[in-house]
Amino acid sequence: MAAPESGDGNNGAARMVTLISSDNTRFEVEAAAASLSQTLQLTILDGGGGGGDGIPLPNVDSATLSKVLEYCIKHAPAAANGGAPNATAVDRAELERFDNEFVNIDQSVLYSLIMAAHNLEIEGLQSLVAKKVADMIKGKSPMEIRRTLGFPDPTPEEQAEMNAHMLEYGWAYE
Amino acid sequence: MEDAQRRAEMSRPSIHGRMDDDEQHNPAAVSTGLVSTLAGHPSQATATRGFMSSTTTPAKRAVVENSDCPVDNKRARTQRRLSFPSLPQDIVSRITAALPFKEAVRMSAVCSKLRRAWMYHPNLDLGVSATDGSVVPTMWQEEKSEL
Repeated sequence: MAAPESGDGNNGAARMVTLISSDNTRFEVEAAAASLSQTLQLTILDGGGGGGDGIPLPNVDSATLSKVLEYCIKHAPAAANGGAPNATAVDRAELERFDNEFVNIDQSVLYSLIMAAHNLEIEGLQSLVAKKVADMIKGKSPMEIRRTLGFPDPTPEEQAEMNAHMLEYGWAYE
Repeated sequence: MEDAQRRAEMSRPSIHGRMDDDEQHNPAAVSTGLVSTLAGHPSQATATRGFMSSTTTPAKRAVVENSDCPVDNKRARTQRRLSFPSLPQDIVSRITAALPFKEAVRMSAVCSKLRRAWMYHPNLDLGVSATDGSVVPTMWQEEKSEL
């Protein structure tokens, strides 16, 4: 998660890298922000992504990538501080507010985000989205979970399995 | 027949984690399936199905059937509307890991694909009052015999 420590201060003002989405849109961002991705961090430390080259990301479309980068840019300063120790309570509250708002989006966008965060290994974003989806599930019955998550209505067989599960693991439903 | 088909879709190991490289064939099926659904030209499959499946199933099925094909699939997934059932196992496990233990177990009732997801729960917090300690070993045996 930590930004490349040496690269940050020593390379002078804001080294930029270019990322290319699956639909060929180019995004120019600070290396420190892109380095929230463990995957990209390695490439960037190797000197990739600068100049006219760009790092192609064939698994991430532009809509998703711009969202991912919005997160990275917002979180880069805190990550550069090695997490939270130097951050003030105000900064932390602001990040939290940003996070809450950030995941207040359509389910399918959430899933695109978590897939991208998974592929790019952006730990914080993965946790954030996972927590959001978990919150959507919390306190619901299996049937409600199915509906919330967009599963088709259960077949009679599945319904029977669900009932059996509820009987068997009754303690989880108390 | 529709039930059987849907059933097959659900039980197919569509959400195993990282995908293998070796089944790269047939990306065309993915794109045609997705495109035809999206463009509103019902394919043969959609025409014969109910309203529920006509919106989700053909695309999902195309993705699921080719889930061993990493690049095309992930690309297709990120560009189209993703649904929970199409997420790979790693991600499902991450989500269940963010749930309290009991809730994660409850979620495993949802469908057979999720049956094992809770087992990756990092926080096997058996301090919950209702557990009698024998619960987990029993479940493990059962799940193992299924494998």
